[in-house]
Amino acid sequence: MSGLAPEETRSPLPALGDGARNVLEIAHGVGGAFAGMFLASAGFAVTRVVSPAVGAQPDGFSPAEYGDVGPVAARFLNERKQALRYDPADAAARGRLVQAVRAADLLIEQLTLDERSALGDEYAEAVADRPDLVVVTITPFGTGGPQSGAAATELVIDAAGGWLQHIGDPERGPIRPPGHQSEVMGGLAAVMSGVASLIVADRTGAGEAIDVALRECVTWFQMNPTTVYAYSGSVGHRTGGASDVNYPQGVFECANGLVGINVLYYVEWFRFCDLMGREDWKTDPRLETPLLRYENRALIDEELLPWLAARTAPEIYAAGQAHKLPFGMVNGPRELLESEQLRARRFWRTASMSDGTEIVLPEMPAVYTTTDQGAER
Amino acid sequence: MTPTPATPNLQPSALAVGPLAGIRVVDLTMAWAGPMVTRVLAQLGADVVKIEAAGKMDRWRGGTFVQRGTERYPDHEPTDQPWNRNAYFNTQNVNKRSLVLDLKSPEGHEIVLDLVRQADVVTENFAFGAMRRLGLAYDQIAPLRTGLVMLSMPGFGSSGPERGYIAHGPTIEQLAGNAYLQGYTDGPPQASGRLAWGDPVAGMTGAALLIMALWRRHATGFGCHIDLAQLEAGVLFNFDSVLGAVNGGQVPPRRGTGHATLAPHGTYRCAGDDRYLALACRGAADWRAIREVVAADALQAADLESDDARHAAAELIDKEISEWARPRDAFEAARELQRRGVPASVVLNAADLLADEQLADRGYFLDVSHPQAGRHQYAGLPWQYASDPAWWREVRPAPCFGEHNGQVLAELGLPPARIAQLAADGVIADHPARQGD
Repeated sequence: MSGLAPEETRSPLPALGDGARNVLEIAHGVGGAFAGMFLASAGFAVTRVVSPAVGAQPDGFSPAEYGDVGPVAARFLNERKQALRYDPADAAARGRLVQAVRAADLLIEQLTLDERSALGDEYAEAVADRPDLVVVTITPFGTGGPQSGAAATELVIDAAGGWLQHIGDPERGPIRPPGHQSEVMGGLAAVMSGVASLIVADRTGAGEAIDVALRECVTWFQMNPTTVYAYSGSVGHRTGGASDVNYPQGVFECANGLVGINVLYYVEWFRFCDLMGREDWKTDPRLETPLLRYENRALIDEELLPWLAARTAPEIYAAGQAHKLPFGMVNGPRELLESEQLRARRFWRTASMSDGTEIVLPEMPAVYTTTDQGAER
Repeated sequence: MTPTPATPNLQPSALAVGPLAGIRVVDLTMAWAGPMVTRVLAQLGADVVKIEAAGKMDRWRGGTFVQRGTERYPDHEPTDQPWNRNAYFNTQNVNKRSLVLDLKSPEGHEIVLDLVRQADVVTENFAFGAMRRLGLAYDQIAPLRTGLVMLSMPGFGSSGPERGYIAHGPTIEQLAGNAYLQGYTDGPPQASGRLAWGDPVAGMTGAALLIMALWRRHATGFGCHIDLAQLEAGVLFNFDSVLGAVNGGQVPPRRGTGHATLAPHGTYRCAGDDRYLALACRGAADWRAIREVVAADALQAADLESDDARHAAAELIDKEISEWARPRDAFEAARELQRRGVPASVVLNAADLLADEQLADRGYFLDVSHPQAGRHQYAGLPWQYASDPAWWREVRPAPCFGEHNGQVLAELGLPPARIAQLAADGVIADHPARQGD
């Protein structure tokens, strides 16, 4: 189905050996599971607590907002992990959970109040008994503050984080980013903060409790709008997917669909002039800066739009990149599987579902060369 | 409600310094993705020396003359040194030091090699091939320092037929599928506008990979080169949508603000200028609360208890909620729904965020005084420590251009006369050549 040859797999990182610390993941959502997945890929020994009581099912998550996470995505999130089945009514299972806490070096929690209660006092006591443990807690708004208990889904997190304000058309309401991106951010923040503190814990025996707020991840992801407001009082708005301080930048129509035209920086503007055969634009004062090019974009459109209409997206992509311009294809998910670039990098690999069905999964987004084992590819 | 976290009984001095204190970073990145990585390292205590060139300073300094309007400058005043007053640069580069160095000169090359000899980490986000031309590719510099960790962040990675292609954040968003998946239900793919989506995606991913590599170095003593392809990081951010589609499932439709299984799930116009309420219904309990608040006859009469029924009637429900929300204050509407346990929030803008009581209570924004930009609040990192260490709050401003030239070179053992000669020869500088961004 995938068309991937068996040998098309990316070399893994060499094993951590004695450095493979234990991670305990108790998470009802994508964020905690994504963190566990990243850590497992790097050689950490990740144990995932599986129980309806904590919202973590063998093939997904209980909370309704994760109902769109399909079985292949769940398989991806949970591979390379050990499962620890937990039942609050089973004393032996509770004992195994306590043992897992005692063995853990890094604990990643993403739980509601009820889910925490289901873990029992023995669990909390076992954690409290470990001053060397690094605990990362992922919640929508953080565990402290007046809104720490606010109800949330990712739509609300994205709204409260200031992201929705910027996506969509100016004359219409906001739209939200696809998928579970704020959760992915939370998972990455858990990795950054948790592993950094793990280094300290390993050296000194001093653990830490870290409180990751998904809403703050979203605000950090955008980063600039709040500083711009603090500096000049300017509030950003939706711009319909284009830039309102630069041109051309965004998705444009071409002969067979859509293509990304991005001319962001000074040197790129000169390259774009060369591509369009408009040497005169390089010295045209109406087009001197990105903002002037936006304000006078009709001048550019006179040349650009017919040029795009006469060419296909692959032709435009190739022509732009031949001029070192950051043009892009507007890929859908299936085009990604066909990407020669991703295949050459062995980004995709085959795996099997529990029923034997062959599936395609991605690698981590990096290729490593290590000093201990030399070049790996 | 959010639970109090399970907390180990920590010693008060658990983190007297940042967890990465002692880590030295040679930072050759610019703009967003790379500097976001090194900002994380810097705020966790690493010593980050940011290297720019007089003729090619970090693009986020915004050039030597105004490029994209004045909103990025304090009080809309670029002054005669706009490169030290740009909001974008000053947000991204807190806690770093600045060295302006001509890497193409023999003297500059030797200096950067000396820095590498003392470094633990080198970061770069040049286009593929640039580091080798500078003599700074991993195989060229790894022998200088045992256990060196290096992060490279070319758009497409350092291998494959498109490795030489150029990409910025918007390119990555288009190529990785985010623009395709994002949009109104009745509309075409939509990019993220001013938000160069691919940049923070790669920045967050790169920071996580790099810190994991530092763990590996800590545990094994071995360094590594991380060849992070920004395109691949972008694909992972939408792993759920992509994996369904490439494994025989449907390509998810563009949903606007909708959700595959939940309804209602959207944004609703309220009173005021561009004010919207975001609201999500997770199930029957939320629905009953929403119905009580909205109190529309059409919603009372209909049998909408099940998720499937509400999904089928989403248009009717959205119409009724829209009519209810339109005259209301968005903040009051959100509070009313939250009081009943329904996920709801105003669609906040930058001004709202800076005034937000939750963010203020958590100390999310960093209060930083910059010598040329003044005192402002900057977005912090998205976590807090139970030990509330002082170093987490004590943040230095982003460096002015070449601010630490003398300091960094003196630490390498260069005497003042030699440093003065390097300045006279243009190998180091504290003023950029005229340039755009």
